[in-house]
Amino acid sequence: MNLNYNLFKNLISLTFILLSIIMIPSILVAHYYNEVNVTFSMSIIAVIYFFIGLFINIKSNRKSIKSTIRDGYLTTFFVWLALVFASALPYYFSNSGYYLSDCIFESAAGWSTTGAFVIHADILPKGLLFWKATNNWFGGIGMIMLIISLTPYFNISGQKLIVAEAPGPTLEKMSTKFTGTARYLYFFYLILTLLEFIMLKYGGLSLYDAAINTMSGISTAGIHLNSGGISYNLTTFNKTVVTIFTFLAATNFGIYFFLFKGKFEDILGDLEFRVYILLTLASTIVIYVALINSDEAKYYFEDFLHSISMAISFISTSGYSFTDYSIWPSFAKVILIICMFIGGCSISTAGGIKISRIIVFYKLILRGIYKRIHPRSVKPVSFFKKPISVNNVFTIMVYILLYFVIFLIGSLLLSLDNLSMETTLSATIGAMSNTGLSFGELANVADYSIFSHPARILLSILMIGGRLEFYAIALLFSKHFWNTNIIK
Amino acid sequence: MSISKKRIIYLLGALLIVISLSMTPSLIVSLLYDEYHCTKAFLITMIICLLIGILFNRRHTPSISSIKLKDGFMIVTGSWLLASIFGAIPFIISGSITNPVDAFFEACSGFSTTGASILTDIEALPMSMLFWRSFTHWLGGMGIVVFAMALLPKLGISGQLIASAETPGPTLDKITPRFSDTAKNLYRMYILFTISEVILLLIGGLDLFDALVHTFGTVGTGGFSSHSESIAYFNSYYVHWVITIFMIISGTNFNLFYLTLKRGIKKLIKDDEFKFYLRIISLFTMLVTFDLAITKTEVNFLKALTESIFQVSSILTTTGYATADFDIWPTFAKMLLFMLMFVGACSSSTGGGVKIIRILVSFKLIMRGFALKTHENRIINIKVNDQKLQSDTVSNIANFLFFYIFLVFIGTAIISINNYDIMTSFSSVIACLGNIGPGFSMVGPTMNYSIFSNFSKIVLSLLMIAGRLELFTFFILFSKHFRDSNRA
Repeated sequence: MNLNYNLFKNLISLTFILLSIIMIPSILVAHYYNEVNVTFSMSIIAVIYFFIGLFINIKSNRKSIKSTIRDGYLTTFFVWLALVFASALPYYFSNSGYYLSDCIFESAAGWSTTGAFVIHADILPKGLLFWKATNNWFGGIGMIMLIISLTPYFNISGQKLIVAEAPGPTLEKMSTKFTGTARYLYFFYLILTLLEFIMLKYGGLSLYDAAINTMSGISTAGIHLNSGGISYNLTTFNKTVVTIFTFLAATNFGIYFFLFKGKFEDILGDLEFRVYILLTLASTIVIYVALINSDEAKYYFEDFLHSISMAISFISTSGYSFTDYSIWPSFAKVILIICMFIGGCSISTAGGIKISRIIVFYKLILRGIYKRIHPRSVKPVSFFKKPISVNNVFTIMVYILLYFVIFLIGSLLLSLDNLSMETTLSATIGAMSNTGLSFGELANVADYSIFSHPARILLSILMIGGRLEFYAIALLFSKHFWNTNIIK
Repeated sequence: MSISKKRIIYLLGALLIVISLSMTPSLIVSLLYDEYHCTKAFLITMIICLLIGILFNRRHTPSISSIKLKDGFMIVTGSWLLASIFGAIPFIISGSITNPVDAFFEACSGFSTTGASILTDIEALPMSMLFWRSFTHWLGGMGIVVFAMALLPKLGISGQLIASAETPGPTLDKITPRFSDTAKNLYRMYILFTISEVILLLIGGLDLFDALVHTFGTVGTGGFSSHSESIAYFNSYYVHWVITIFMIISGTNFNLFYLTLKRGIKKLIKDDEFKFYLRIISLFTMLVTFDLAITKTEVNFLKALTESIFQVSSILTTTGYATADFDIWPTFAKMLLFMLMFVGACSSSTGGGVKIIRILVSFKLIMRGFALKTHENRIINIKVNDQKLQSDTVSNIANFLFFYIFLVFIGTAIISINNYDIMTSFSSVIACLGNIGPGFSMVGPTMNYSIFSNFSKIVLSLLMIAGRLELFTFFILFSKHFRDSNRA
């Protein structure tokens, strides 16, 4: 195994330094709420991380960070591994008696922006909940993306790292340099965050609640503040704000770039954006029809709000439960499940298969039919009038197949816990798509403490896998990856 | 009327005459058991079929050799639909099944060799109706052999097999110089298997009626039984194992048997699809057996092994017989069976589902995806039986899988309108599309499909036929390219 140690060391050291810096707000929160244990342990951990980072940084060489795609995957994997473990320690040393597996689950759920938990948000110290929300926020776009946006010298390997961390099918170039693209992404992300925060504050939430809801909302994580899910105590105004911003966060950030540059015709012409809006509207309408059919009390307006907010909650894979959907008709539930598989747009904070891939998926089916009628025809798959190269089509094909294979294998392993089929299958997709909220026993509350400890570790892997779109993890199981000289 | 329409009507007329004649055995059974109302029902149906058939046939006899590809799709789908419609008439006239939709569902299930039933009390049906029900399996199984081996290649899919139209399996021309000879050989094989199973079951102590009914269900990989408890009724290891072995045989590529007879066992053992098929059976049997033994669901090891191998082969070959109520098995065992529902039997067998070869190729595709992630510019071929697959072939296979997944989701949404739980909706669609029969929850092995609304029953019936005809053959008829083949 030969790894590009320069790239690796630089990135790891920056990761630790950043981790210690982003811990500061959580320490302040813990201090404000008089959580002595949490304040103390987190401060010590932050200092240790800072020095670890500094130590590695001194030892590393900044020159020549040229790298291969393989280095990109490997480094991304290790950075995320370090992130998850390093972020789990504040939970573990908070002196609250949590199991290590639970801490890892919480940390993985935080970084992968899955709104799942095993330790109930009500009993989690406020400082730690704030830490989880911080993880959500940084996990939303990706820690590596942040590092690239901050530091100029990753420019050459930046693309490979971005591809490894958030490999959407098309990474539009917003700037000639990848550092520039990453900066734009974080810039839009920051603006959306500020807007949501102001709106929620205006909606009457406390500073702390507004901050947590914003950080977990804009990253499409969806932390549950109360046993019934956040929404039950939110006003309609705040629910609407949260819904609108999760919708915006699951939009391709390229759209904001067009908006920023004033290219409005490009926004309307963007196929993925159009399909995203279409799918959201279509699922809202069919859920609405199903709801008013089964609703005897005829709360037409409430039903509409519920159907649109739940449709967005699932298609953006944030997983807020704005209403008790476990009593909804099966039809509405199946639509939500389909939304969960589809997920948001590429280059957004959402998980799932991603809409641009679903478009290719659908086009491939149509091409299959066409090919049966005209077996000898040559017909490219085109995406917004531009044909996609055969290689790209194959990559997308493989990804979708891999997604379903991992879904089945993950469910098989989870089924060892002997929970019902519905719960097992929906837990897997809930974790993989980073939604958290799911069906069966996971409806309404994404409480994964029904699973055994080994299963919690498996779910953590699935969550992080879903966030990194599997390649960075799945590749480690490939013999080609380890021995680059294998021919067959 | 154009020539092609005349030709289609002519061929469908011929099919009706065949259906009419094929009711003769059932007619004899009804006479033997003194079920005169059934005799009447069969006679009336036979006369109707014969008259319409002759009417269709009277006009003009076009030469069959010049059938176009487009007409071929029409003829094949039309045959299955007509067979199901006319096959349902005896049930209605005799009053055995009063609802016409139920009768259509039952006949579809028979001809598509699914084995899903709407009957709540199977034993209450007259013997001759039970016989007819199972006989449709045998006809359907045989039909698919003709369809796959003889008709479609004739229709212009140049010398390739339909089930493996996308794989470089042995082509028809290679087996025998003329396709009709191949078809004859395959029939001989089919009849040989039928006779040997009947004899073996007779030795096992079954009466002739039961032996015939269960043989039809096995070699056609259908799954209709004359008893509500399915195979569990016989409670004999011998019978269980005989049926298991014949299920596995019927799920094997029929071409392989012919090649084995001609060129020795080497061809069979070296076949990639067959090897993968056996591996899946042994691996899944082992896992299910251990799970049953460890969870003490079945204390007797031999019984656990017998039940596991029976259930694994029954689901994998899409037969759908049951020796135990697997719906009450531990979730891990259920999950294993659930995975098998997506796999299906070998290509060119009487079984349905996705087919082993496609699963094999998609695994290889995923592996290639991994290899390409490490070496971007490398050229890696996917090989089956040491033959290179063309990129078109591979993408056709992926198109099929995507279409399959797409239909499962859309079908589940449509069936969930009945408002049964998600697992019921989901597994009923998989079980019908894959021609399996029993699913989980409310369509489990001890349950039936009578709970669904008429609309859902029609949807499920169409899914059965679509699944039987490898999706594209059926759905092509709805394509705009089909109606206007000049459309780009």
